[in-house]
Amino acid sequence: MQLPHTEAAPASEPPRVSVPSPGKRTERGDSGGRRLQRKRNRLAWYLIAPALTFMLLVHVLPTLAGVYVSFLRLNTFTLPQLFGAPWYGLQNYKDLFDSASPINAGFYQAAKNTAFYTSLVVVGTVAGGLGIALLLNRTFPGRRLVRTLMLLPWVVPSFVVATLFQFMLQRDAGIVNKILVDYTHLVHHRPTWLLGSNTMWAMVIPSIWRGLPLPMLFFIAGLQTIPDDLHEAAKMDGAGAFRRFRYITLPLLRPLIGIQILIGVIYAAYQFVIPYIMFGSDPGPRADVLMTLIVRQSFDNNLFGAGAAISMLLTLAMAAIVLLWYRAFRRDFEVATS
Amino acid sequence: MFSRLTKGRLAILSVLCIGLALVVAACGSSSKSSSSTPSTQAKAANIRGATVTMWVMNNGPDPVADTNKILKPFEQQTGVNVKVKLVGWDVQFDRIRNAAISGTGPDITQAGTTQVPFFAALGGFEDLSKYTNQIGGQGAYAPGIWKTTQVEGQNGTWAVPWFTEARAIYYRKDALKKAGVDPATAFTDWNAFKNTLEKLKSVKEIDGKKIQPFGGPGKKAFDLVHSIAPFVWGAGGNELTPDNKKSAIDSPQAQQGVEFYANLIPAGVFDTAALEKDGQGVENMFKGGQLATWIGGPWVLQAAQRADDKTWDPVARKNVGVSPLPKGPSGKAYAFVGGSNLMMYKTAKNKDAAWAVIKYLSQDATQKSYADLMGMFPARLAPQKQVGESDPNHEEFFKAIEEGRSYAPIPQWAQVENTYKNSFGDILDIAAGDGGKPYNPQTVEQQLQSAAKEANGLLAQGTG
Amino acid sequence: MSAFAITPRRKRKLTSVFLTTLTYLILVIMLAPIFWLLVGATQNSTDISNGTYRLLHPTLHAFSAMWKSVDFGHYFANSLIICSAAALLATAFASCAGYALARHTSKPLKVYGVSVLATQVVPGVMFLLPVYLGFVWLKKNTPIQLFDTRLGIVLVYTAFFTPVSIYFMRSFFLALPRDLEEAAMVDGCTPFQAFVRIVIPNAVPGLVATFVYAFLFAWDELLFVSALTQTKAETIPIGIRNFIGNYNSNYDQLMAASVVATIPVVIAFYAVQRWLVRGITAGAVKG
Repeated sequence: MQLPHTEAAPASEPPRVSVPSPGKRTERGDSGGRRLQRKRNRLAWYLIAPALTFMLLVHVLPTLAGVYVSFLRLNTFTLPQLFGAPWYGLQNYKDLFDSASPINAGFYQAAKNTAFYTSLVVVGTVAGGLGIALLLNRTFPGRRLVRTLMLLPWVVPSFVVATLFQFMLQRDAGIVNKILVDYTHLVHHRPTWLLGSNTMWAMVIPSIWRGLPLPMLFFIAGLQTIPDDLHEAAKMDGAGAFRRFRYITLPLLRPLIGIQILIGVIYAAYQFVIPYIMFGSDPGPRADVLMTLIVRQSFDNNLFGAGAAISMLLTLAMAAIVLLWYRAFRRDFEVATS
Repeated sequence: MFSRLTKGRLAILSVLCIGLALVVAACGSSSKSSSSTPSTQAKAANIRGATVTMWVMNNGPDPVADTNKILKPFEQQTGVNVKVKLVGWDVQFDRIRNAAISGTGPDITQAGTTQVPFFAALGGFEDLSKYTNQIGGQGAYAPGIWKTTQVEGQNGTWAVPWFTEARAIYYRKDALKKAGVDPATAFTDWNAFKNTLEKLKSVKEIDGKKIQPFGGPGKKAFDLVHSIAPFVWGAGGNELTPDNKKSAIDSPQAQQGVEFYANLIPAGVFDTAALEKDGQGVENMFKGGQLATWIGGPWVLQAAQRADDKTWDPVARKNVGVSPLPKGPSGKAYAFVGGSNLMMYKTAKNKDAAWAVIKYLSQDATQKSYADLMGMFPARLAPQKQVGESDPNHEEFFKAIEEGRSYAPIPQWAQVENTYKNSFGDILDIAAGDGGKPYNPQTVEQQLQSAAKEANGLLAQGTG
Repeated sequence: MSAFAITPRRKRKLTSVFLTTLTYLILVIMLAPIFWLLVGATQNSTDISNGTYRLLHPTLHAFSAMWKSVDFGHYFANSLIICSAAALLATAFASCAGYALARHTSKPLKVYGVSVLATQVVPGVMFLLPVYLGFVWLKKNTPIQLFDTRLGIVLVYTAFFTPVSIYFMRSFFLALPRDLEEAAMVDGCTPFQAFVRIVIPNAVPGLVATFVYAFLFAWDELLFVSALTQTKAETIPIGIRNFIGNYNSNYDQLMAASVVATIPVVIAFYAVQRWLVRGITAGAVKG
């Protein structure tokens, strides 16, 4: 069933009024229009100048300096030399992959954990957000209130989420185990969440909980732009709810899903607050992610060069993922921005 | 409203607005630290009116008030104003380091005895050897304690010892009695220790409160290594090779020591709820009556006397006993001896005033009163002996100090200790069944080997 | 044959009831942790460490004790000042740059737009260390003191959160029809005057929403403050950890402090919820 791909526009947008751009020939005459256009172009540059300068100074420059540091031998002893520490070339990078080197310790594990964690969180937040958005797309009593309250987990600061879940997941005093073991008897042996093999789940659950409302918001907006007559027509053709979802809703939501996946990957791969507050700078072999590894190598072990090298690799990996994402979703992206 | 607004005026207005935001942000942050050059040194005797900032860590239930109390006579006498600030043990390492490299710290800071070499190597601290004659120099301190002010390979005296602590076994007298164990033989060696704990299993509760034989903290405790190192030493192992250049934590003896401690978990005598907590949390468990034995420092003896410490269970408070750590297969028992020293930052504004504070805190009388207040031992020899003779429990601690041992005085030790702490924590998790790996000697060996590898890398930083 | 036949209409009604119940169930589950936060804040400290929760006997003791046992007022003030200042600056930058990106699509501007997005691909930790070293260097060699100052953090936050704010603000400008500015320019205004006199006043909801958006991000931030502050510029995310690990574990005060730390952002969010949601969702849908 081929459907025309309609551009999803939020229903509350005022209609775009098309006005002849002053650059073209207008009744006013050519020269006035062009001078105005040049002025407008100049204005554009003035307007972005402050943000651009600031970005270059405080964002781009330090990032390049960070790349530079990854080529330095910067550790406890050379730290007072700051950027003048001895040149190390690619040694930091080589050490990361050399199993005999201490810098390699934990690197592969952290990379695996980060990949696993990211996948879980992205799937959880996007699928969960979509599911709840579908539920909230119906009319039912109290819908507006429910929609407003559902946003609350996202508004709660990450450090509060981490502290709260740490409190709830304590083995003996925490409410989660009390419910699981004492009240509902679902489990007999009290699981430990904050140590050992369950630490990954202890991290994933609050991350999904907090991240869910954002995709949910997007999908609610997106769902509302799907014209009802599409569904009506399909219903009259005999399509059930699941078929309608699969052939109407999902394709139309593809750009949004794409964007949420990208946002989710960045949110999860760069998540620092939740693991750090729940587990400290060494979460253990199951929950150590690249962000905590970098902070541990840099600020606990004072191996700053190594930490910078790991950051660089993480950035490159993320850039590769973004490029892959772009290839996959480029069509949707272009249509949406046209 | 905007009618008279020209481009120029608007530009000025925007700059003003942004400037206002920056000023508000900068407000209060540049109060007194904007000068980068220290003001001219006051004349030697003229320190009246100077202000000295001092960082202390959690040395008791109310560290800042206690330190202020001790310093009051000094302040009245000299006119120096001392501002004491609390920096928790969990953040003090980063703070002191950052202050040393960025020059934005206090004048004096407390530091752990094992941390002095690391901080000194950063270069931000004053060499105090020109002052220490005024307090008796090396001779006034036990050799092991004086060693903590020195750094291998770097001449000078980088700290002044403040107070000393050693770890020993705390036990509940009533629990031992109920289990039918004689305290005199309960902890003589590893076997006796193990047997005592097994017997304590039968004491399920006291006074209506559930009690477990033993408990210790996990990875969260910054001082986890201090509890396990004595067992490593007792087995004849070492944390580093004698030349301090490589890790020795993966030797068979070291492994034996670590395994002895971790084996307590599957043996069922170790309360695994303690693993989630830090040192303070497990201390509270003992004080609250949940543990029959625990390895801790002398300050808990003092805390038992303090009415303002509300974490005590009344029955526990009255039944505290202390014993030295058990002898290991090597035939000797080693206690970890630590404590805190005082270091002076190079950026101290009035070095004479700062030294005056350190000097005052090193007087025998002050040492004794602070130690009494804190429950620690004085660092100086004479008052240290005094405290040791005060009661049987303190005598046990004094013995432990005399037999005590500490770590290598090298700058990389702080990081190596951190690596060992993480490794020990992981081993304990595995022993508790939470590590996802089976708990057996091979697993422990693997863990220790990777810890040794990481430590070797950290140790190698200093060379080349 | 029962008298209660499942007609299609009844089936739809049942499904509807089922789905509504499911929705509310999910809402309860989603809000349960927040409920528990409030419970934890209103319990007695010793009770909590033992795991006994007296839901029927709440106490507000933690809310008053939390200000004394830890210097929470200091952290709270710092967070407010730093996040507001950073959000203000970010909004200022974002309104200018966002407008430029909304109205112009020339190649160089497109490149700028992409580069702004590209900054989000770099993790904060990548530029944290050089900033740390840079602050230390400044302190050593110049009279400029940025380490452990509110100003230093404000600068870092502004840089870090301006990119998202730019795109956020841009979506609001895209929603504004051009004809107003066009008419003004036809009447003889310079583009800049049109921007200031016409566009900005009409975009005030967007400005406020962008401010809140940047504020939310800044309020949450932990990595930079953990490395770049010591004591003077400590914010809530760092300071709040002091309730545990000191001599007493005051979980009740920790929870109470968490509640207090959440209140400002909840108020800010819900005050501008409509515009905020508009900005968040319009941004992606319009592209």
